[in-house]
Amino acid sequence: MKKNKGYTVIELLAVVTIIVSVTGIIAALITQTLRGSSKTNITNQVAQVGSYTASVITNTIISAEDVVAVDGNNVIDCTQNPTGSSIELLISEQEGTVLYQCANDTISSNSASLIDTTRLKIDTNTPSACYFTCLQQNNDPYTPPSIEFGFTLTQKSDTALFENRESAPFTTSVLMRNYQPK
Amino acid sequence: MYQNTSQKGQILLIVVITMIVALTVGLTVASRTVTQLRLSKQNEESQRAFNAAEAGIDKVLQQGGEITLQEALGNNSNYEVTATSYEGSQILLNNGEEVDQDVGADVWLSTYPGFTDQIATANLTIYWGGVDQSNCITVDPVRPGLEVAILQGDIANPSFTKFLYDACSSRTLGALSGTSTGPFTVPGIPGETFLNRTTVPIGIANGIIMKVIPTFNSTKIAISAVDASGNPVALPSQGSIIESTGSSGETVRKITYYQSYPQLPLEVFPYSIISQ
Repeated sequence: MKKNKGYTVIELLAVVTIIVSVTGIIAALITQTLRGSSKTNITNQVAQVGSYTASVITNTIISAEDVVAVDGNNVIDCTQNPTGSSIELLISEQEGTVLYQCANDTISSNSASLIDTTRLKIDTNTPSACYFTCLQQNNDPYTPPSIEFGFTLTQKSDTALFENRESAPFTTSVLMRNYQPK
Repeated sequence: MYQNTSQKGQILLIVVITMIVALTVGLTVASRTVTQLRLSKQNEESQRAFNAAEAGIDKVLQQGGEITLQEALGNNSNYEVTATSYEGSQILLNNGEEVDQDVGADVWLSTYPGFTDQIATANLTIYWGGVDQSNCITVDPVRPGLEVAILQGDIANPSFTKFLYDACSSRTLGALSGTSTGPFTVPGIPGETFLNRTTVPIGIANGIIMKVIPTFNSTKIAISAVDASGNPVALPSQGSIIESTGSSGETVRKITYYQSYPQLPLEVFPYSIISQ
């Protein structure tokens, strides 16, 4: 009975070591999970906003009747395969035109931004990172042109933390199904 | 003695309970993760399959013609696409989509693009206006009128005839009323009902092309063609129906797209714009 009353230093040390290491492992696990969840958050957001932007532009291109201008220069057709940071499409005579433009770290549709600019940005400084190209098959101005566009979406804050960084490229090419050359 | 035996099983009980709790928590987390993984994989495959199907449609639109194509794309997805001609003795213009007000749609009475194989003789019945589009005053849904312009005869010297239909009296000057006591169903086109129907007063003889323009409202339009004894007459191809199936992994997405032949500009039909 007397022997059981206290613990030896060795016993205490062993217990303290075990508790410390277990706590350490648990803390590391929790941190990992939390970091993983913020990584998931930003990845999800980039994927969602990127797909949304791509689908908005895609739908406009599919239903547009004509290309008015590429990179600010008026074009008659796309046999010269013009490319640049903006494209102006004619939706219809009644509805007028829509201008998609890469500028000021975003893609805008008639000056309204398509992305959530509080958290995300688009690299508009490198010309190959945000572009619109109009390609016409066989140099024939009456075949429907296909428009290729791409952009790279990244987080806005210039953070060094891995879990807050995400960057994803989006590229697609769409045929103008409603093309009616003017 | 009794006390000793009761204490001996205590550790076992604690271990078992702790393990049950730990396992429950662990397995729940694991199953949630597995579900999330499966969902995001499905989501990705679905997008891949859909875009593959769209790529198939674009490919056919670029190549043209009634063809069947299949292609495996690099990103673990593939498409199979078939384009078939849209023709028959009963047709829905725009493949069942609404025909735009004051814009109209072409009905080919000869073969695109050379105006060959003209229909020798046919009587056409036109159906238009949804059953809810019944208001003659300007309250939605407004009852649509119809303008029909027919080119027929010798291609070098065709004759042009125009008819106006409006079930609302005194809204369109000189318009015929047609039969406005629907709902009518079109034989051969199940599931569509129309409020107005009319048989074009002249029979088609060596038809070339016809333009049907809804006025006052956009509407679905159906056309049925019969000969003098009431037997169906096949109208030539009006465009192509493109069916594309994209698949990625276990996910399959199917898209149908209708491409009409290029529409003739309204200016080809003299004096046809009446309500703009």
